[in-house]
Amino acid sequence: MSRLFIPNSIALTNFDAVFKDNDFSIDDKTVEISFHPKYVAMHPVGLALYAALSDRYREEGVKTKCMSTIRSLPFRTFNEWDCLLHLATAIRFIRKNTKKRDDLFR
Amino acid sequence: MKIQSGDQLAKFLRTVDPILHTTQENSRVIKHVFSELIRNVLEHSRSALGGNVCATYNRKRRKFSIGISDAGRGIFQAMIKHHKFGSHKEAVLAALTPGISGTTARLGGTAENAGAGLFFTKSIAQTTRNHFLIYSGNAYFKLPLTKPRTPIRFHANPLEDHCSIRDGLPYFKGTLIGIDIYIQDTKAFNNLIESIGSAYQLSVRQSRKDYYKRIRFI
Repeated sequence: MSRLFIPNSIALTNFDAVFKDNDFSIDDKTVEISFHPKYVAMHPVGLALYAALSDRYREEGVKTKCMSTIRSLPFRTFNEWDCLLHLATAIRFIRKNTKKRDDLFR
Repeated sequence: MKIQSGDQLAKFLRTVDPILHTTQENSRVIKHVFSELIRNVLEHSRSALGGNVCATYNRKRRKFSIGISDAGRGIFQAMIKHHKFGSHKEAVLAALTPGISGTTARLGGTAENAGAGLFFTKSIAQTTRNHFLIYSGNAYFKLPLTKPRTPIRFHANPLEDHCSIRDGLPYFKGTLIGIDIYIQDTKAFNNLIESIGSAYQLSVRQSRKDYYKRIRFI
């Protein structure tokens, strides 16, 4: 089973964090997704990366399995929340009672 | 936000204006970045699901952070029809070179595609001394922050920039671009488009000169 690890912080400075424990492969059509259980804060480039990966999963009919759920998500302006929802819907890792939290870039 | 057509792009650019919280001149630059990058996705990526646009604004630092991606064919496949590359890294570097377009082999591109979009976007990040990243296939190009006193120079050859390039990375099908832009009413920012425009013209002219120097008529 392929793995996708979402680090708890992605910025353009530390973009290489996205390569940690990841090869973005979907050879066996199943991906196990894991991430920091409490906090995920990312630059829009991180969101865009995972949105594109989720597009690819949709296109190629990849099944996803999530190892944990996010309790709260940081959100800031006009479309980050929508993008996260889009991503979350695609890779099915969100809980119904996940709360928005306006504290990104504290 | 998902953008899958030119109409959606036009609507997005209309609606984004009031959210930008900045002057008309500054919002022109931000909208230019959005427009160039999303047009690239729509025209070249062949992504069935369109492009993804993500952005945040940090009011305290007056900084826009933008991420744009697609799950399309990537830069290498988009440009290989008219150019010769041995790797994704070479394709990414060519995409950043002014005057090289995926739609033609001609230096300076065509009327519709001048091969200037990514060069302009990179130069905007350089002008505001900020980060810029482009990742496609197994390679990325990244501009780090530059010190305030370092003079700003726009190089036609991206290898001459103070940058970090990596290849042999996990394969990413599609293209990802990230950029930070500081919104400040400085003279440099206001004259941005003009100064980058002249840099583009100079470098295309130089590339053509170099090209014709190589040709010898017997």
